[in-house]
Amino acid sequence: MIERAGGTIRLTGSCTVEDAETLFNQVLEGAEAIDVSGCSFLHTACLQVLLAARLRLTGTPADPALARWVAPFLQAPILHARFQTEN
Amino acid sequence: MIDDLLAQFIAESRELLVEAQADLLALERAPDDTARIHRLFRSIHTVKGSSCLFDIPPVTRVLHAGEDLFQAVRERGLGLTPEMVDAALSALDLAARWIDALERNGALPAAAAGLAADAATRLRGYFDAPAETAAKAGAVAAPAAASAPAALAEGFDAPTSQHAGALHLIIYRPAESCFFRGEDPLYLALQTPGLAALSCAWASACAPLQAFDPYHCNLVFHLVSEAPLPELQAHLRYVAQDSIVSLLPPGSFSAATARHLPEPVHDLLRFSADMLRQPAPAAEQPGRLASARQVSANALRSAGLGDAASALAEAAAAEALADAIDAVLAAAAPAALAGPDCAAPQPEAAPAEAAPSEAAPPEAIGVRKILRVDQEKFDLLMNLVGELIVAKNSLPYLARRADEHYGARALGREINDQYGVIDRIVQELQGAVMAVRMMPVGQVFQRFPRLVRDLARKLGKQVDLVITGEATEADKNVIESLFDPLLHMVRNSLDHGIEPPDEREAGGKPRTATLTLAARQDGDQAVVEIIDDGRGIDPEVIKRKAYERGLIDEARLNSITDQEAAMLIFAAGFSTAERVSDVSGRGVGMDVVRAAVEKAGGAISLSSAVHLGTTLRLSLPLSMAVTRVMTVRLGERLFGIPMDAVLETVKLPRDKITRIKSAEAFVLREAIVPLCHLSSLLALPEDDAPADEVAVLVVRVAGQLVGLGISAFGEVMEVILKPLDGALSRITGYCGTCLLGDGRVLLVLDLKGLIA
Repeated sequence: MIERAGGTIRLTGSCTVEDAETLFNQVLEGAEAIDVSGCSFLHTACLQVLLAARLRLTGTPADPALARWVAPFLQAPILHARFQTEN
Repeated sequence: MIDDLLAQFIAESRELLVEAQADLLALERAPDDTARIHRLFRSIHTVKGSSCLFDIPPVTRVLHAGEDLFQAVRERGLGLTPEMVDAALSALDLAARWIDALERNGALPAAAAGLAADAATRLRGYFDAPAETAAKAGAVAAPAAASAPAALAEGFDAPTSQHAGALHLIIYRPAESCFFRGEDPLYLALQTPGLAALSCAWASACAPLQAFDPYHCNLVFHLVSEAPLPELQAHLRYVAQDSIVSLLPPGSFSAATARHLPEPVHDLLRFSADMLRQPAPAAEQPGRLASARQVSANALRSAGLGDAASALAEAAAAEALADAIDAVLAAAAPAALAGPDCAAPQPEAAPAEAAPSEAAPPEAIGVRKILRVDQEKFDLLMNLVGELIVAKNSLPYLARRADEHYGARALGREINDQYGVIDRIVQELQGAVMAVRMMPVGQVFQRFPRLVRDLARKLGKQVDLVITGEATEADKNVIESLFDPLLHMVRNSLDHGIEPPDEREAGGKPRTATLTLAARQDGDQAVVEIIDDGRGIDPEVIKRKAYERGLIDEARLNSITDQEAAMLIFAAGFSTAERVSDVSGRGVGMDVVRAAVEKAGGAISLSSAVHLGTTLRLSLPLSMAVTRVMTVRLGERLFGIPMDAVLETVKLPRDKITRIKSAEAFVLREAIVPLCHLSSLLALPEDDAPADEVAVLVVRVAGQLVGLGISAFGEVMEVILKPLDGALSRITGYCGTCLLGDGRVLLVLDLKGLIA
């Protein structure tokens, strides 16, 4: 679910592929931060919007796997990479 | 109607399939050529990938199986056997045939699905895969067993490290449209067994936020896992084509790429820094610090950054080490990035979209631009140049008329001056247009490795094909006319010339025969030789056969030279094969070859030595578009004679002509040359007033010298020869017409048709 509280977009519960569009529209409308602390599931499409938005993220996702593996690189600047089939 | 996308797919796929075939053949000879196997894999991967865009599952299926096979070869060191190559080649053929059918009919043949299943099963049979799913999992690449980097493995977080086994790096690039197929790559990545590190990056330059499409997946995941390979393969079986699993050997991080950190190194470093910053029980702190330091240092050393590695060794505390790693990352990766609002693509990332399909070495940035042009447009250009040449040639006539008819000598001279200028430009234009039409002979040669290989296998012979001079260029039409004759001659060499291995060995020759296709430019001719080291042509056998078949009479049998006898294989109705095979030897062949070559304005010759081999030599004009003709006058009429037939011009006093019954002959440098009068050949009236001298053009027709009596010699000119077509095409004795500058039509004679 995508919720809005003033300048903050809040991710709560499951953020599914359908939520990606809502999230994206919220980002386009302008926001200061995204609060991911309530997020228990993050679909790749939502992840992609978070990476593209480059907004300040607050909180740590409720889901342990997200907290452990995804939160660190959500905070860090994302590296531009090229996919190389031959390596 | 086929849409542009499909047309592009068809053109691109054809090229890639041809390339793949060449690579496959080369690999069969040199299995260790890793560049080839990579390129082969990539070609097939690309065609397979694009084939998904269209409704042609059989193509996709066959290529997928091929791709998996080559991946097994590439990464598991599976050896390529001739049978595998056979299977792969026929799979490529199938795909190529279906692509042809797709272009013609817009659909695949009905039987395609069944054939595809058979071909795929056959291919999959070669890389031990009991079931389809296992086969798919196999595609996730079992890495070659490199020595497990124990130091790296030790370096990982102790609690998650159940065993000191190998680490695998998984690069997972989900398909751009994966969201529409209900896939969730992040979920899949998080579920990876033995996950030890995860990072994610843009796969290609990210669009500005306004143009960003949340449903267009543009991510690439890097995962490090401790799980054994089969488990990873099973986990990734549904995204096998989008992911690559490789062992993490330190040696794979090439020092050459050290200026920018290789992605795995970068990922390892960041993983280490992240790990250091995470809270951990005090008891684990020292272990973590030591392992993180070791992992980072190893990774950096492998990337050729030894000094950075030693700098890390000085950091004593976790926080300090994390900062040091961050510093290294910041210094070494200036490409660090790039959200939507700074979308200026990094130079190295420019061809990101195409990256999976192209080798794209960094130096390939200044690629030559190639324009594909419809041949029809080009032929039009060529015709216009031809007309321009004709129009240009009318200027000297005009100049002469100005002088003679209007008495304006000065004007005539000026016209001639202008003619010089236009002539130069037209010649350059013609040269430029011709240059575009030039194609390397290699275009034809590249089809032969496959043919020779297949034929040799079929005939149980061992043949090495050597190709030289493939860069030799000739006109497109010439090149295209070359294939059939070459094919026939190569078949003949393989079938009749080259002996079976045992016979060769008994004769003291290497078991593997050498067949050479050599091209070179010789003046205005392109010369192509087919040289084999086979049994050669025995002139005695040829003579006897020719006599038995009634091709020569007894007198000729006794007088014929060995060289002439060998040329008899080009006579119609001659076949020396003891048995008729399906490769060659139906008694049609070499005469057809000769006819085809001569039609293209070329000549064929042969030299052979018993037991040593045979050399067949084709010489073809570099260009067929422009023909040099000599004009000759017969009474008031003008005719053209192709210059390549003309040997010399002679003024022959009448008393030097000897009559032999109804025929005439004369002596030219101690040889008797028959004399024919063009007027009688063309059934035209003789000259009214026979002069004391006869102008004689000495020409070579079918290898024989003939004197051709005419009224007067004209000039030599370059013309664009137009073949006789339509209602005129049945008329023999002329090879075509061309327009003269004054608008007259010049008939160009086909001497062979007239005299023979």
